[in-house]
Amino acid sequence: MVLILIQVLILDHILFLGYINPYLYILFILALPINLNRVYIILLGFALGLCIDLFNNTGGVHAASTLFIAYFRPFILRLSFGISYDYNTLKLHKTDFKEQFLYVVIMVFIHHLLMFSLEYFSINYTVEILKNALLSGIFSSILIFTTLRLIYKA
Amino acid sequence: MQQIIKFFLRFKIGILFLVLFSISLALTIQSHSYHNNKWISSTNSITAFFLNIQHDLSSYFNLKQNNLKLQKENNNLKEQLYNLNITTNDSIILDSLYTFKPCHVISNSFKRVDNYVLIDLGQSDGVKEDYAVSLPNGILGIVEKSEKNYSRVISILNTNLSVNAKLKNSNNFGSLQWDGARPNTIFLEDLPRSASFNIGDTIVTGNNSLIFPKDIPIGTIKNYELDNNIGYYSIEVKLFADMTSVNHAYVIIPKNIREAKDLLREKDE
Repeated sequence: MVLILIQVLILDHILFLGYINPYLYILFILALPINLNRVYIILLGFALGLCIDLFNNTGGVHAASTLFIAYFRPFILRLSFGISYDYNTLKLHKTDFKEQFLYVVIMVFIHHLLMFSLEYFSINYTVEILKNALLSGIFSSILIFTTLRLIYKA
Repeated sequence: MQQIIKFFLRFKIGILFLVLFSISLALTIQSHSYHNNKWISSTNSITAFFLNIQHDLSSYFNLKQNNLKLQKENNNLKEQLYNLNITTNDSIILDSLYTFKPCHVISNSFKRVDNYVLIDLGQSDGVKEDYAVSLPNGILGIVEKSEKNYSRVISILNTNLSVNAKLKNSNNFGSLQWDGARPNTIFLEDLPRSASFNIGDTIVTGNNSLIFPKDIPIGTIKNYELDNNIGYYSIEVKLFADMTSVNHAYVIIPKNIREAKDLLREKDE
């Protein structure tokens, strides 16, 4: 809830250098407990995205992309943390710096690519989609990663 | 039967994902077509409430700047007023075609391809769908959805909207469209080859619109391109208004729009 408000009231107004905008809200999906039921994760992802859409008048753009990363979270977790995820011993705050970073970056970029493609919704804008996804993605990744570290430190 | 239920239980996560994903895709597709984007909208009271609080807080920071803007506009209007030969009387004012209602812009966006603006006037203030919204130095958009206290305006920075516009010095008209790139430039398309103009000329709203009153200045010609195959100009227009910082706007309430619409319908039939 707080994350949604931070996103729509503050972060959506940053627009660094004209088109870079961080999307912090997906931090919520990233930081959900590992062994939470997947049905809940998917429903939460959908609801979170839809809330952002409500504020931004974007139809279902955020809902679709947040849902997408919520669904594929287990696969990305396995990809970035490897064996420890399979043995159910994974604790996000105890993991390696590098693995954590990889996890954040993969999730953010999948989300951003899907989000910008749905937002522009036309092949004519491929360059803009890629540019936006890349630049905003870097910005979001750094922001989310730092916030994640701060939460786990505290 | 049992088999089917078992099948569903086994793939419930995948099915749930697919169902929700198609819902959100449907919403997305719907949002890309003009006048259909009504389900997911910030005019609802909860989102409007938060956006309103934010507007109230942040408006203090821009107070000085906005005062200057308003003062400048006032100044312009006064100049126009005193330079007019005032021979009009009250009856002419009563016969005017439009009334203006001032409003605040609560939330504005300009970085997407389809931008919307939320204003703090709604049905209870007499604002209805398809009313024009103008700025002190330009146009903002058209009311797309209006609820009790808030309305959503489809911004001219929206690729789904096109507004009739013409050259100030001649009557050649075209349609104003945004390409989704820069918030201070918009394109005037379909201007016939026979039109004559120079860079720096003013573009105003056209006569062929029931929504916008004619001759509202919009911007100046920055660059142009002639498509030889089609024979139409595509003109790059620099907007007078800074769409990234709009705060005050006016809803233009037409008085006789129904008559005009009825006439148009008759013509169609």
